[in-house]
Amino acid sequence: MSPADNPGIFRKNGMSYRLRRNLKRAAAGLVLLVFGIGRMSWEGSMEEEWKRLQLRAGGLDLGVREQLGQMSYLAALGGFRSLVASFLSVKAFNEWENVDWVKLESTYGLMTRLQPRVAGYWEEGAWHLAYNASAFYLLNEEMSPGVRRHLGGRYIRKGEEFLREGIRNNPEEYLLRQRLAEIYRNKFGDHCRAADEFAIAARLEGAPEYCRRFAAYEMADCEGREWEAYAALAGLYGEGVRHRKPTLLAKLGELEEKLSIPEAKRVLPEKGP
Amino acid sequence: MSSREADRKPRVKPGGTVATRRGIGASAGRIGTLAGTTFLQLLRMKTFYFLLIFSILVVVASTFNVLHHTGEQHLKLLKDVALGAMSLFTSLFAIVATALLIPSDLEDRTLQTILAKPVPRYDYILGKLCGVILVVAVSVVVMDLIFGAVLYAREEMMVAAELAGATESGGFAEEDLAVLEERLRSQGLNWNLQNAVAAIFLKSCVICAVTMLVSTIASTSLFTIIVGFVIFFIGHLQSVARDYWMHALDAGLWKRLFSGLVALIFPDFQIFNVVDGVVAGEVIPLGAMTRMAGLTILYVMVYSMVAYLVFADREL
Repeated sequence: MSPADNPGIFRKNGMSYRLRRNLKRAAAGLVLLVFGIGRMSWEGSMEEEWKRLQLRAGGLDLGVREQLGQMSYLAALGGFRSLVASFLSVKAFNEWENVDWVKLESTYGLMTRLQPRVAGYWEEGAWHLAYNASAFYLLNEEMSPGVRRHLGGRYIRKGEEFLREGIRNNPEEYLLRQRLAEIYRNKFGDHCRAADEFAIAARLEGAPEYCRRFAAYEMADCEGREWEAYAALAGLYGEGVRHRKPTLLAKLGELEEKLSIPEAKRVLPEKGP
Repeated sequence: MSSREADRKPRVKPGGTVATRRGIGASAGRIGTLAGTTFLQLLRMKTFYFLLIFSILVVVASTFNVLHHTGEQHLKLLKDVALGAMSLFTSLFAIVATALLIPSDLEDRTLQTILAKPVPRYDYILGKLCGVILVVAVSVVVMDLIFGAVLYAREEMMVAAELAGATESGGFAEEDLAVLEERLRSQGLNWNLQNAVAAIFLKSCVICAVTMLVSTIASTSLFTIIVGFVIFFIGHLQSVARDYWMHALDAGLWKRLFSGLVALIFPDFQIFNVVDGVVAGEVIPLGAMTRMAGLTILYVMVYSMVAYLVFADREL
């Protein structure tokens, strides 16, 4: 006879088998609940710490779910956000080949929502929008000049906005600031803003020294800031040979002429006959 | 009879049952023996074959060549695929391997043979659990070695190719090349990646413990595997239920009660999902890893205790 046949007769310490079994099951449930309550605050504080350490990106809203599809959304929830984003970057390549700018913009939007801390996605998305998509419209001879200018300009602004959003998410990343400065310089011809952005990039950790030079070059072309630019260029010149690039020497020479710096006070040595 | 032989001979209680040798040392010895046999049992099931699939996947991923991808993106893609596969394979393996243990012992009557000896049921559960965790640990180490080797090789190739390309194209000063190399190396092999691998292992330990708990209730492996997968998915949404329970005060009573139960009973697997952050370059401090390990130990202890309470009076 087994306990299941007649649970009442298998007694231990005055308790029937069934009672003992049920008590243990109740204890098991209780342990789970008490543990659940106990770990709740611990896990809550760990989650906060993970967010502070940037290990956890923001939640995925309904819009992302619709764009991703059921399987990718589940994968993203299951801890495979980075993987989904990587595969989306391969998909974006196909959209670029097919010059489908609307889809490409949407794909990069999705990638950056999945991994807002990967600066490379912001940089690349902005490059596609501000350079590739804008050039596609600006050089499209099938369109009227007005439409070309309108669409081309719109994509340049989209690229600028995309980078600004990337900077909000990665304020310490010098490369995004550098790329923004390049858009101001190459696409808007706005040397003053380019100079400011290069200068901010130069102050960020890991920024290469050429960012300081580029800030000074752009400042030299910014109306009204010539003296400031001259001081910056002269300072770089004084720091040593490593900064004495042809562009720096040319800009310095131009400013010395433009600002009518007396020969005796000029930084550049006098040219020989 | 020498005192040594007397120690080995099982002591028989007046009722005819065999007394169990007591003490932490004796218990650890039994758990160790059971863990060893479980390890061998899983080895004989040829469970390590999945490592071959992993190796192929990592090698194939390392050869992905998307035209406009930079060196950094190539390395990120490789890390994503390898760590993603490692996480998925380890989780699947933890569920399936654990689910097979108790039903398999029941089926071939090994369980009765073991429990007929002076082996307490908590020793049996802990032994099985330690055995399966040992197999998972070996798998993770092997996968980590394969991944590390492929990533290192790819990193060296990428650095050499990018620097050669930059030098050939001209216009790159020494400092520019140094910046280029530094950015590439930041996506390559580094110690921080080991934190991601450790987090994957810790998550799989919790999965093993919770699956062991399910298998003490279940009568078939299939049921345990299905419930294990359900818990795996719910565990990734547990934090959503917890937020809802704690913050959605205007929600209905039943909804809050349900979300509260989900939050209390199921483990939170999102705590272990740090791979995305690590791939993106975020550094995990030692303190954070220690807290994660502490939480894992607590999970394993509590789920083992609950598994024992359920299994203690289960009729076999």
